[in-house]
Amino acid sequence: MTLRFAFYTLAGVVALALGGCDADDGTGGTVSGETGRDLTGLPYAPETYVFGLPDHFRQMPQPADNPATEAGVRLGQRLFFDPILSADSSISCATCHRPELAFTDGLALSRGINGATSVRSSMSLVNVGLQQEFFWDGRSGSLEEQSLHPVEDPNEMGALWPDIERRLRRHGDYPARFRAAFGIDNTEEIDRALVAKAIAQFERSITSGGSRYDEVVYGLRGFFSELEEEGRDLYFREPTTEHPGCAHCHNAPTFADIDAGTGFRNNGLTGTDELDGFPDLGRGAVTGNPYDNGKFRAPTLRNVELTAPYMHDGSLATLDEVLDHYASGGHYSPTRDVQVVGFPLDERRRAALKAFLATLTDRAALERPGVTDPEG
Amino acid sequence: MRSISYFALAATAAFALAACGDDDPVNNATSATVQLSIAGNMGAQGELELESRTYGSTAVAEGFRMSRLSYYLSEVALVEEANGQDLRTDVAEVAYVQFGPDGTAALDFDNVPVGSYDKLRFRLGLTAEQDATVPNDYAASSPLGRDSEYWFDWGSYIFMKVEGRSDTLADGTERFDVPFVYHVGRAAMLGRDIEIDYPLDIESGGATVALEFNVAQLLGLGDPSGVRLAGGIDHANMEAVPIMNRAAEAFTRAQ
Repeated sequence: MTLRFAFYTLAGVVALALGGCDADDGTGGTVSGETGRDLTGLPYAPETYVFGLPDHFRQMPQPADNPATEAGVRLGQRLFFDPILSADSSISCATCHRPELAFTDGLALSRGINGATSVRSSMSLVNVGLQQEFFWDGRSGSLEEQSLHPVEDPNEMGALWPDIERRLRRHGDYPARFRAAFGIDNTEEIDRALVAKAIAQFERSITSGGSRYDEVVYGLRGFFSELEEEGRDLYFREPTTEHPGCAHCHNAPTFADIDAGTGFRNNGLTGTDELDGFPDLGRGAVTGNPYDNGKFRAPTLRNVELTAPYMHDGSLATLDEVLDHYASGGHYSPTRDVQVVGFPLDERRRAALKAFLATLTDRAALERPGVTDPEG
Repeated sequence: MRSISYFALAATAAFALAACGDDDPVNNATSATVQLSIAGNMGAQGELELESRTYGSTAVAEGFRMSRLSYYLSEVALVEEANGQDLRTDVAEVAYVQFGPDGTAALDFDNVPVGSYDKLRFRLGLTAEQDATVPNDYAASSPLGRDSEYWFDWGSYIFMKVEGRSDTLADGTERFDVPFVYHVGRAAMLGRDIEIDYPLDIESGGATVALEFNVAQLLGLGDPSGVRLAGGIDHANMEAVPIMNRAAEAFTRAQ
């Protein structure tokens, strides 16, 4: 009796223990066949996606649970350009991130559904996958997490994820694409997590590394003009009161500051003597450190001639205004970056800096079919 | 037969439970994690705090604040003295030290062999071999993968960044509006080898190496040859060697 009791007790313990080892996949998966459509008859043969960055960039980082595949990237591309993700199906991710504008929108502040206005300017997505923190204030730690937010933001797409999930599950085309990308067996497995994964894969595929700068400096093909060379010297020379030293915050090869935790700067846009005197606290609202108030991501300057207007609030309309701003040293505030000190800017220097910045344009990268609207 | 089933189940249960549970403490571990903790101070003016604390007046400024302090350490090693010889145990090839708002920095070094040591050695700055690489040779999360710590014009990493602001105008506004920026790099010869007597027993539970870093010493406060706190922006200029010399003297074992 005792032995039999012990046997069943142990059997129960084994079952419990082994069952307890099972991982929860966290996707909110459903009981197959209860609802939805069976997808197991559709093809699933994932092929690894090869990123197009040249060797002078580091390898594209990818989370272990979302390696890019051809089908995943193409699904993400389709979702990115499809207004199905907005409440009234009027806008898509691409509304605010237009390829021909280096994935910005040409507006000071982006517009969402029903004429809503976003609080910040649209950021370029070029080489965004190389970053470690996302949004102007770095509040998201992954592209997967970041891509969830605009859908429910009332100033952007204004939708509810359960509604979007229903739309996609009932769609005539998307379920097969989700199957091809992620190997799901049933339409009910389509959820926001998979949408975010697909869009993140696509965003990582938005790469640019074939500008004239890349060709001359890394490819050793051709030369800069005299004016471009002067601009390059101003850009990369150590910053002093004579040289702007732009590279300190916009360093090659990304021409951004992508370092974790430190890539946020107050470039003197707002003048205030008070730590809480900024209309937008920026990074400070994320960290809670008042000395981070007024700081924002130093964004990539690749394709910068296409991304006007400039700054997190779109307050500078042209590159000339940007140069004037930095040459002036900006406005005083307690958190203004110590390297924004002003420098002499005559017309020759202005022309040189603009000529150099134009070498960072890579139209081919923005026009290739892999990153433009798949519906043409 | 019943006995076999019983013992088989018992063994399976033990295995399953062990697999699910946390690892037992390894009593006989041969390595451990060592934390390097560095607390900044401003000498007689007290603890270091970035941004929020004002330090005393100087000849040219009503006061100043530090906004950034970071540097690379390389060839971090512990040394055991035995029979008149130094037995060196490498701890880390490179580490990036960035002081937080509270003026401290902490780094964990894993897999350090347990044992007794007598000294800590490291280089302030990078080795020539490390300095000959570029951030793209590393993952972005690596100490040497930080793009903003590399200056392409030099073809070199920035070994140390010292940044702050001074209130030079004495105009009553308390505006710390004159920056000082010293970024040191450009040549591996600027690195400084440092050795600190530090008796340390590392056991399986790990250990902490606690250092202090005297920023007043680094800046040369009170010394006419010290850094110019209203100096604007300087990079690897002629002051770089004295700054690195002073920085090397700024490390001490925490009391």
